[in-house]
Amino acid sequence: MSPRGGALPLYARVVVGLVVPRPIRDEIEGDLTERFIEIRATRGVGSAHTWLVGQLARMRPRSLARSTGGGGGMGGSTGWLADVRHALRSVRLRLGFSATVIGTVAIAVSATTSVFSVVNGVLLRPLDFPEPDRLVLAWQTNPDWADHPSSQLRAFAERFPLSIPTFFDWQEGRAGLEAFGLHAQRRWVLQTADGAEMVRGGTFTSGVFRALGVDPLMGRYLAPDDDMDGSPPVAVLSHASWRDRFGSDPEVLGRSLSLDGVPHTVVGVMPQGFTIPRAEGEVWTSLVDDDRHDRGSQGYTVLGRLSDGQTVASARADLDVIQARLGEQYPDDQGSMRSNVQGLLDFMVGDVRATLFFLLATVGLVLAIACVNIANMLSVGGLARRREMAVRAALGASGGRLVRALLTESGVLAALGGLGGIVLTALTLPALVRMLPTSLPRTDAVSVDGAVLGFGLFVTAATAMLVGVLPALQAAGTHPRQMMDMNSRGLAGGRAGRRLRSGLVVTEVALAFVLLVGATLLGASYQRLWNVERGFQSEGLVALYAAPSPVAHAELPDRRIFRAELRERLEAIPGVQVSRTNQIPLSGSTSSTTYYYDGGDEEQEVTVMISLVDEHYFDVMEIGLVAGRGFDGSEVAEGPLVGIVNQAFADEIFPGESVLGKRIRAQPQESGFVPGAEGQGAEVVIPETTIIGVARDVRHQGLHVPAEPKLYVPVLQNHRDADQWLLRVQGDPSAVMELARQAVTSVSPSTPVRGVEVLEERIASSVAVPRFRTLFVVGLAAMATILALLGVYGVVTFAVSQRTRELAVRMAIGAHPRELVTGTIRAGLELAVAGVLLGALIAVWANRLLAQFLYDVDPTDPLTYVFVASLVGTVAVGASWLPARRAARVDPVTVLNAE
Amino acid sequence: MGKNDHLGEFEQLALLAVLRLGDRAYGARIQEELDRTAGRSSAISSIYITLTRLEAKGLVRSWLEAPVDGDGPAEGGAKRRGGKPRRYFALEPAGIGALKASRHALLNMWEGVEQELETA
Repeated sequence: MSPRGGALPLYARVVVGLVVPRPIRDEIEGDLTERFIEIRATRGVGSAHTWLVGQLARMRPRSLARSTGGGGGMGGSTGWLADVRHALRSVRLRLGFSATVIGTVAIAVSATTSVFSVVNGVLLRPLDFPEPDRLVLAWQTNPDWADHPSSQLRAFAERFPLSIPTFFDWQEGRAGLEAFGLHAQRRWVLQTADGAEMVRGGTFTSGVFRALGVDPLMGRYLAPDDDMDGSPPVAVLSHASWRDRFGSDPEVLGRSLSLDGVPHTVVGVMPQGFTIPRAEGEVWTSLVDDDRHDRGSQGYTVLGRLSDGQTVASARADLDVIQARLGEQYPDDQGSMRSNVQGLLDFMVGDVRATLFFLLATVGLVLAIACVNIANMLSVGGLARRREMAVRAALGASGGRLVRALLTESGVLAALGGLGGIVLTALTLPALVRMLPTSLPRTDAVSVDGAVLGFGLFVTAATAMLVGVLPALQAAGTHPRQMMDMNSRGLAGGRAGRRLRSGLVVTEVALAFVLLVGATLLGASYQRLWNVERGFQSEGLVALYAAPSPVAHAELPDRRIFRAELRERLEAIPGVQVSRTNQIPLSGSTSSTTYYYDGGDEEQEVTVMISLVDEHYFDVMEIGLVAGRGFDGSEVAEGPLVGIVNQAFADEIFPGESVLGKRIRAQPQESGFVPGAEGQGAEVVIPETTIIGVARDVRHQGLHVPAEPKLYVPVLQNHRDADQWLLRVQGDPSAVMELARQAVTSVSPSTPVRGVEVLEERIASSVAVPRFRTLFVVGLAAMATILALLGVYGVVTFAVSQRTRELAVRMAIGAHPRELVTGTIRAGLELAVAGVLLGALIAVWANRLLAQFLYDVDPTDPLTYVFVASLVGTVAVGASWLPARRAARVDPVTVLNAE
Repeated sequence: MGKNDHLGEFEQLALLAVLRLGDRAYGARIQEELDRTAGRSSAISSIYITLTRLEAKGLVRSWLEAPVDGDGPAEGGAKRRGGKPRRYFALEPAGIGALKASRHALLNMWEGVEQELETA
């Protein structure tokens, strides 16, 4: 606020702008500036401001206005100011009414602005890197998989991770990218002074850091030399890691970190707030991989920066050229592979974009309902003031003048409400952010910034326009004499006004109906999703991941001992059944592999999902067996290979025949490649397997994904690690979780425990986004219903109060009170029916947008519409009930005597 | 001059300030002059209200002058007033007449009572 050079402080300029008429504004501002600067120079800043405030306080705007040549009607600014003053006065005079309007606007603006701030933070705000628009991710693609029966391969069709050799081929022939590198998420066991800890981060080539373009705080980031085969492993620390693990040690460079037992030299520390998208964590290391030369081991994504002038499409075209060459060179595993490039932000938020814009649209609908409601309130409120309007009109105020005054009033109400709404948003936003599903990316970027403020102001202005125009025009179109006649139903009390208000309420009911239908559909969809037949009993299960530390248990026999001891300790916990597997259903990890079997004349091929399980798995999970037998512990590595398949496998691969005893084998020329989980594409070599049992289908990839053909193999007949433990618990799981943690530590203090969780909770978090979406829309629909209820109540009440005399006459000539009650309720119901019909039309159209969020629910489900319609009808009857009773209690004698 | 042309006290002070300032009579200087010479901390808006009223009565005239860059600090250059123009005031003959009449009336009234005031 301190003036630089010749400028008057902002507050003074605002006051001068408001109160000094335009003809003498400039010179007065100039004089004030001149004196202010002089006084500041001679007596100090404090005195200057004191003097200035004194000057402003003694401005006498009316005398100034008079002295420049006129009465009240001169300069535009004072006329406008007079309207604002008048509006503020009438806000004060009708405090209850004003508070209701302001409160409604505040809540509606706050709800809309809050949702926008989430949209803004997550979707719109650029990433925190220099020129973030040029950052892209790249993968290989395999068009052959686009229609593959396996959902996992279909998912890989467009985004298939690279192998390290392929990346170096890309790098050699690169075009279109200024800098790019490989990265993959990693977790390591970090040896610390008091044991071991799991740390997150990723492995990289140097190009990723160059592409991101953020300088290190200390030391350096990865250099091209670090990418070379045989170069010593190095690590770059996040700021938080440096602060918390090394106490912000300025001498940290050159120190060693033991990650999975491999010493890494710390070469740099990144600045605060820096993180690597999709590899968030605290340590970023150079490539330390045995699969550096394995073209089949594909676990990496490319992150790069487009060269100047290049686009996602041109970069993709360049990479496709390289891929075509690789295809000729390595026809076996690169044959049909192409490339895919996508903007980084686009990829990060792609999954949630539709949801967030849907929520914004929904909250916009509530805002519209609120506006309609307020317009209605103002319209009725205007009636109470028809005398005042009449007097002003009779004194010579033109129609335009009255409209301006009323518009100013609704503007002032909307402005106060909008201001309240923005403040409310700032206050409640942290709570909203905490409620967001944790799977939503970038929630830390959600805050009230300039864009959010601008949006809030825009919404407020739109609200002011929407709510103010109708009532103002309605008042302007009424003759003063009509207004003065208190007994006439003139002004908005007349037929036109009634129609206007009824129309508003019908709109309101229609919009509320649309929201209610949406909420009901989403609720039903979520209900079905959550209650879908999972195929196993998830309640009472605790999951635990405890991989033996690669340092303490480097050799396979050590790991076997660790697992056997751990099983013993876990089973010793009272009331607990234990099982071990490599991946738990509905936990986000799947792997599949291709098997071959004799079908007809030639060998057939099938891609199945594969799970490694011990002999207790089906009991602990409570997965029923349909045919054959389960594993009994006799399945050892040396014995004949056996497997259990699921129902989907039996039905799809061997329809109409018994699957028991069938033999399947891994590809004879098995290349060793299995499209496994990213970062650990693994080998599963099972030459020939006899199917000994059929289990019920289990939902594995998600509650919404139907079961696909699946093969269970015994843990001992596979070399892969299987360190997911499942505990079936009787009673309270939290005590068991602590005991399970202790069990791991007692077996091996250097083995970190991760993901000790009640399985039911983990499944719940997998559907957090649909749940949030549903709860959010249900909440908004409830809000809309209350608004619509108030709308119906208001209109019916007003109609009753307008018709008091008529009702009294009808009572006097013998009408039964019951007739008046039913008549009034019918009026309310008519509004509801019209609203429902209009709403149904809108809903049928709008709910097509909803279809993408629905699971097993038809967006035009007639039952839903009937249910919601009857709900709206009930609400309308309820809203009309009170005014109806008032109508029935009209005392003819009192009313008619008063006439 | 008509019956309403007696000057009020602040009107007299303002006219005298304009007279004393000569060709430098504009809002900020008038305010400073009243402050310094008359010991009155007056509001700039009051000065404008008063002088425009007197202008309407034909006692003063006023005109705008755009600010000129490079004015010395004593004059208050363009930069020292945010580039805003100045409204200068000057007395019309009727204004000088009104001041004379006021002075005359006041001196007449003071005659013979000054001593009493000092001994009181």
